Amino acid sequence: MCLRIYVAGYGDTLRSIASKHETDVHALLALNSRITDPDQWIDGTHVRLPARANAPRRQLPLPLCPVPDTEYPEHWIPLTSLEDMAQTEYDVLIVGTGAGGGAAVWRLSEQWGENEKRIGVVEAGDLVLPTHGQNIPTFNTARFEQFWHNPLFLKKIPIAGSFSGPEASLVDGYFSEFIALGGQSLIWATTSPRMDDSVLLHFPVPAQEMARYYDIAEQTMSVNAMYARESQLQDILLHRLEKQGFPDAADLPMAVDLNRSDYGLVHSNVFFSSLHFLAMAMNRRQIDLAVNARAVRVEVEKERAVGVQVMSADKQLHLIKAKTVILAAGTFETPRILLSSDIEGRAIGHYLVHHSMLSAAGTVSRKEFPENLGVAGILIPSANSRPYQIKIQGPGSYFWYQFKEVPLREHWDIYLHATGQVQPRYENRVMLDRSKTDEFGLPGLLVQFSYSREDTAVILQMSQGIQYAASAMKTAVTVNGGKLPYGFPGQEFHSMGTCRMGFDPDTSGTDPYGRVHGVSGLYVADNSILPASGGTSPTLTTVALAIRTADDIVEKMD
Amino acid sequence: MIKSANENMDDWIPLSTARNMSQTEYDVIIVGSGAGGGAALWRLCQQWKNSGRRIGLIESGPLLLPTHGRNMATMNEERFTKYFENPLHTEYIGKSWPEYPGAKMIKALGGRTLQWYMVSPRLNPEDFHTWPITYDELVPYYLTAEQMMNVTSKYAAGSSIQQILLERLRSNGFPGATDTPLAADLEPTRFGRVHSNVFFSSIDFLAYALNTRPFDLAVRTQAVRVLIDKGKTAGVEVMTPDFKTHSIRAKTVILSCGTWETPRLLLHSGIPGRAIGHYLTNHMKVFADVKGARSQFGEAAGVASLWVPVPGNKWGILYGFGTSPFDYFWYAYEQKPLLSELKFRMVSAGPVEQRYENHVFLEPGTEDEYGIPRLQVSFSHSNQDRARIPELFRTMRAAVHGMGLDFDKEPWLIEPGEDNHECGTCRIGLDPDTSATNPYGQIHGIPGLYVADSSVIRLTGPANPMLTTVALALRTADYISQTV
Ligand SMILES: Cc1cc2nc3c(=O)[nH]c(=O)nc-3n(C[C@H](O)[C@H](O)[C@H](O)COP(=O)(O)OP(=O)(O)OC[C@H]3O[C@@H](n4cnc5c(N)ncnc54)[C@H](O)[C@@H]3O)c2cc1C
Ligand SMILES: Cc1cc2nc3c(=O)[nH]c(=O)nc-3n(C[C@H](O)[C@H](O)[C@H](O)COP(=O)(O)OP(=O)(O)OC[C@H]3O[C@@H](n4cnc5c(N)ncnc54)[C@H](O)[C@@H]3O)c2cc1C
Repeated sequence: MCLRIYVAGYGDTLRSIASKHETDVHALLALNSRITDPDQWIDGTHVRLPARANAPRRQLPLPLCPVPDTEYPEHWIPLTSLEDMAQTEYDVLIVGTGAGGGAAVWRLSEQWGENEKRIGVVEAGDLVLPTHGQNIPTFNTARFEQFWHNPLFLKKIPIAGSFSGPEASLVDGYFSEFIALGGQSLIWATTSPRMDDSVLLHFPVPAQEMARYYDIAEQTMSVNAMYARESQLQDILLHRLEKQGFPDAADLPMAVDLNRSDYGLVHSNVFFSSLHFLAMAMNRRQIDLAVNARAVRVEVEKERAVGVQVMSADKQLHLIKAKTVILAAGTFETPRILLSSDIEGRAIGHYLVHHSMLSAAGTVSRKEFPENLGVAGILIPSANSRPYQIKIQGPGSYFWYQFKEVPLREHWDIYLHATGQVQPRYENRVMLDRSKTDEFGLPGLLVQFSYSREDTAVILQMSQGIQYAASAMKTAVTVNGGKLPYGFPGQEFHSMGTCRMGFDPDTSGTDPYGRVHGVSGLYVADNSILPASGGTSPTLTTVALAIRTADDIVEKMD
Repeated sequence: MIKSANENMDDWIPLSTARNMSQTEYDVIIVGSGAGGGAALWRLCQQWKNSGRRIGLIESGPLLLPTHGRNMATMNEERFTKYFENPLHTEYIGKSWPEYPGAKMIKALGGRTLQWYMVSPRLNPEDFHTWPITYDELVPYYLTAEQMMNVTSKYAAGSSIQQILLERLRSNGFPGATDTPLAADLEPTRFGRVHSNVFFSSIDFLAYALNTRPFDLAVRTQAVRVLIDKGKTAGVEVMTPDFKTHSIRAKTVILSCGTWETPRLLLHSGIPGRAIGHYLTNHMKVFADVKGARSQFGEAAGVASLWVPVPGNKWGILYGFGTSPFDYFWYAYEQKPLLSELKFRMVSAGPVEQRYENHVFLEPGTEDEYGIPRLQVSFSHSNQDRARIPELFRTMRAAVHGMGLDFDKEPWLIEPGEDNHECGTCRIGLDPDTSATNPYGQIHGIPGLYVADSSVIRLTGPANPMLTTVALALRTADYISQTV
């Protein structure tokens, strides 16, 4: 046993050397009498260390600059390649990450925690925005709209033939979908009412259960009616509406996190998107997620789903094996996958429902309102006697804004936006158009859609409703050429019904839990399962049902 | 509801291109979009709100994140750290600098403000005695910077950890212990004004600017040379990743490329100045990881965000974060379990002496893909620096002892560069022999050429540099808007 010499390096002091070598600082001071201060910086000095005990010392890692490592994520969300996913058999594979898919992923993660189950997710879109667009500092209303109308993400699905509007004009109609991680939830308006009882009657789900899942959905999406609460504009307009025949006009329920950040809990994402679901899920357990991964076909063996064929951006097919598959690719893509998989079902793709739409702008005079104008966000809900909802927002484009001052104006626009009930009818449908192929060589989609007599009647009612509401609020509505601007089918983004839930396979694509009739282990969890909606925004209900579907899967698999 | 626009945007911010920008003559071109560039841009847009002047911004990096990484729903501490550690996003320039091994650089829109820790104190009034401007002159700019960046001392408000640790510090030799000023917007969202970006980044400056008046922005556009014509600024030469060169004309150019790239660009452009690249300063920092039992704190534990002036030592500061060090200092979309032991990261810091010898220089034969020589750094500690280091350790021990906490990991001195606070390579001053820029940030002797970033800062005190960088950039922009 002999003394050892250590050459002090950058930043070394006797004390740090003592701790590095697991020895006592007093022993070092005694051995190195020239050094009197244990905190003195002594780089380059030869330091005597006490004799080593027999066992070799544990080498402490030195602080080093991180070295390049393939484990560093390249993106703001961890991704898995399809090649890797093809090596795994998943317990559950979710297709699509919009409202429905996100909700299912979150609920499965929440229920399973860190158990051994494997959850995989494939998403056709790319990483487009890392949060709802309205949370992004550089967007305002105009720039945000310019962004999401980009045909890179917003895809059109043509309506067969030309569509004749009530003015007997002919228009080329189309429906739209938004292909991106997070789906339409990156750009939705977060309006989140429950459906009214007269509509829920048509759901094959007991009312009590519906209420329970609404509660869960509202809580996770932070749905609340506080956005405009206590603002003068809101109070005054609401008061006028209540006095003038709209007693049920109320604060708009929205999926927005309005909380103050405190105790380290940060509220940086006010507007909800399904990326919150993914974030919550990933903070709970491992999720394998592939983007630019388009599901093209469900593999079925002996009436059981066994996996999904997924196409990568370079058009390679990968079979991702799974015990359970949840299709959440939206109202158009989910039936497309089912139809491409030759899954029989008379109702699949049929009963396409959307909302007819009317909007108008009214003006209010600033003078009529006191100092703290604030914003207005009002919902006149859809009800048995009113087959449409009216959303009222303002002032101008300042319903949401950031990094900007609101100017003082003499007049402000107030927007009224009505969405109306459309009957579920077998004839309204989405189907494969084998005469066309898309960029992946897959058959195109085509929609057949027309309004029924009743649907047109609702549009007329809605038009009157808007004008009544506007006059109740004392806002002069700007009307173009004497008529309200008329939204042709597909203009409103609320599409649903193409895999509607029900008991009878003849009139429904899925059973009351979202299981595709006749195929076990295959579920649908997106807008396509909604059998009806009245005039109510659909997403909260889709989320509630997706959570319920996830619970059903957990129960079946445990 | 609102008219759909007919022009599409591919990205979350409107972009121009180097080619398009070379067709315009700008009143001001800003190079770099970090703290200094963002601040200068916003201020010029505000001052020239109703004028037809043309403002352009070029940034060498890509669009990486549209907000501070910690605002992103899908990030947690681990993912955030690893994301930025990825060599794709962070350049470890210190790897070839033996005397400054910890240096790193982020090339992206927003620069290092996408990742910074938001600690935003002012320099102390007495730190200004070697500055060419007084503290009082800077106060209005400090105030504007604090307002724009939402600097708050309330991050740890209501936390029992914070209250208890501050009380212990105050009664054990650190009477001035207080809350760390942090650039964090904690406000709830109300009346349509959205508070979706809690942690500040220079993207917020860009957002304010966009909402004030138009400007042109090109990313992935690297300035390679400052153009000078007959002794006056004429513009910048830029290169794009396809190695095409464009000249962007402007009578006023503001360089905001940071402490490394600004002097590099100046040196490569042959701009004369004895002090350019010299007087490199930073903060010597002693780190420690400390711990304490959870049971000594109340129910509403919250976070700790400590700012501890050191009595009798104006050049040093001690600050700390907790808990664990950052996992719970900020978090979202997560349940926080009850821990039996809490951990904190403490930092004891002070500036190195400002010396001519500490400098950066171009190293011939090390040209990058654009043909520009890389930098090398010459850096050492003076006797004064060496004498101060033991004091940093002693302060650390005294404070940790005073808080009744234990070391989880013994204090250690971090390497130059790891502090992230490099400053000074174009420092402001009156004498061209000892300063690169005049008190307004203009390169001595070259009309129209300004610097607005951390390189102009005289890091004379322990304060983290960004707030002062922003304040000076605002002042430079005001000066330009009044004189151009
Ligand atoms: C501008 C706008 C405003 C809206 N406002 C509201 C509102 O205020 N309230 C409301 O309730 N609703 C609103 N909506 C509608 C709402 O966004 C949708 O109801 C909801 O997002 C539907 O969820 P989903 O899961 O069915 O489908 P989507 O959100 O469309 O998600 C489908 C996902 O599947 C992916 N996908 C598609 N095909 C494939 C494939 N083959 N393989 C893998 N992945 C695939 C898509 O990329 C997408 O991520 C709005 C929509 C828009 C566009
Ligand atoms: C992890 C970390 C934590 C930090 N924490 C704090 C803190 O808590 N408090 C604090 O005060 N400071 C902190 N800092 C330091 C702070 O971020 C910097 O001081 C500040 O960002 C410097 O601003 P800048 O404008 O000088 O440079 P940067 O923010 O680095 O911006 C320079 C920009 O110029 C661009 N650029 C470079 N060269 C060119 C070229 N040739 N052409 C075009 N563009 C170019 C770069 O891409 C970059 O966008 C931290 C830094 C890091 C990395």
